[in-house]
Amino acid sequence: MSLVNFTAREITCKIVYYGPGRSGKTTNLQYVYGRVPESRRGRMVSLATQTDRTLFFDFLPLELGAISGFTTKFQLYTVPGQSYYNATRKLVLQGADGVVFVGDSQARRFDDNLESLQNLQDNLLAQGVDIRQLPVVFQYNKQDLPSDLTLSHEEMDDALNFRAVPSFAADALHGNGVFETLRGISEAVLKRLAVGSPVA
Amino acid sequence: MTVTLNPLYRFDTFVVGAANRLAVTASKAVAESPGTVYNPLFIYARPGLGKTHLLMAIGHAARAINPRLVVEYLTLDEFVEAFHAAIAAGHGEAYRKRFLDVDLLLVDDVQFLTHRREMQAELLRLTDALQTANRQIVLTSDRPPAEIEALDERLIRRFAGGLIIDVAAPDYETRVAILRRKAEERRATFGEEVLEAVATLGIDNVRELLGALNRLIAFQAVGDKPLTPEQARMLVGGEVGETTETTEQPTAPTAPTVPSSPSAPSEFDDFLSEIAASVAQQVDAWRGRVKAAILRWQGEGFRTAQLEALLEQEMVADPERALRVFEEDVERL
Repeated sequence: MSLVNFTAREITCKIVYYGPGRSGKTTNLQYVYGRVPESRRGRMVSLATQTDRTLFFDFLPLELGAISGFTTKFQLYTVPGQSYYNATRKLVLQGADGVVFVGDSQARRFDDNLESLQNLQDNLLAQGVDIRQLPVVFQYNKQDLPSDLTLSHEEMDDALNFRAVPSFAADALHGNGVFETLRGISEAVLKRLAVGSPVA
Repeated sequence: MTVTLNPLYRFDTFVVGAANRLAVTASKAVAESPGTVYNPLFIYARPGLGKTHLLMAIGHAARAINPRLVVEYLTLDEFVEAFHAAIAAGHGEAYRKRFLDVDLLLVDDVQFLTHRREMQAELLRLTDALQTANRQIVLTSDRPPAEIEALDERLIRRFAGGLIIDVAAPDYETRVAILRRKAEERRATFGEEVLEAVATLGIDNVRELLGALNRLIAFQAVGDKPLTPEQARMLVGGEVGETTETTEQPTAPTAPTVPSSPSAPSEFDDFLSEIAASVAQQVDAWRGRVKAAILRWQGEGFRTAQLEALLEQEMVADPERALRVFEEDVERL
């Protein structure tokens, strides 16, 4: 997708929240939605099952207004975490400018995190994208749970973050770490705005 | 090095009141006739009262009257940085020439001249040269020249020879007018008493006043009822945290899944301002590269009008290519 459109003077960033089911991806978007003034946000589209699991994906458009003469828009997506929705995940990943990998800090979800991360790499590769070339940050959610049930930020980094990209501890339900993560991925994506980035 | 003028910082977006009327009048006079009325014009004020806004407004207005006018805005730090870079590269003369070609030079934050004798001497030389050529220089500072520590007496005298003017804190009426205007610009509607209530809180820094307005807008955006003056007062006074827990404050439309928090509006504002800085840095990075190339080629005695024309444009689709083409032309010719 076009990151910078010089003709239309528009910057559009597509950011995808990826991770295992129930790790808190939708919660991240809901928290952001609740903090953004109405005039700056579009309608949050959320397709969920009756048990509140994301069926298709969530979509939250954010209008950041004119920055340095460019109309700046962020589009936040989540993917369904359950393994059988891989086709949807591939679809949502297409054209992503950056990925937030939302890991579940609970020790019992360790394997789910690894599986989801592997799935992310596979899906990107299938689209010809090397994960090492794409801005990615990690968020380790549910750090508010008792420490005997969870892995620490450092342990999560050791398990998932081999490239030492920015990572954030979070309690998305109460908002801790949500904007820090969004800021982290946004900065990483915007760093690629320099000349040479995709131009429409 | 040099940044482009912020398109929002114009005279028509500057709220005029008793505290800044004189400064605005002088600024407009300078914009209409650069180099002839008050030269140099020195504007000082505490932070957050609109110095940079006025400075850029002068640039916009002057350019609107005469689009061919060469206007350059930069902060003192950028001025110093460019000087050091030029000296390090052995292009001191090119640096001086660059500023001598400017019709309207706008220098922000000159209070940082403190103890910089070398830069003071450079600015003195430049001020003299610009004045002689009837070119305008406008400077801003957070204090009057005489209070800038260790500032060369000759510079103080040069500034006094033009016009030194201050911008004071806005009075109550101006604060109401600022809130009203900015609310209109943001298409936010509040009861008149709400804005008046905020104006009575005595926030005399315009930046903080706009921050308070942002809080009101964000809070009202997630509520189902209009804010009352009392709520506004508490919200801006930072006491809303208690009220959200104990009274019927507005809640997010998607509650209960969206938690509410007293820090909600500023969280997004902080995010926005950081993103804005990041975008500006990336989007305008090409200007620095073009300027550096101009300095380099000028230092080697080449004409750089072709590259300077690039800087006149708001955006160049492929500045690297333009630089390459220029370099090829130089080699070929």
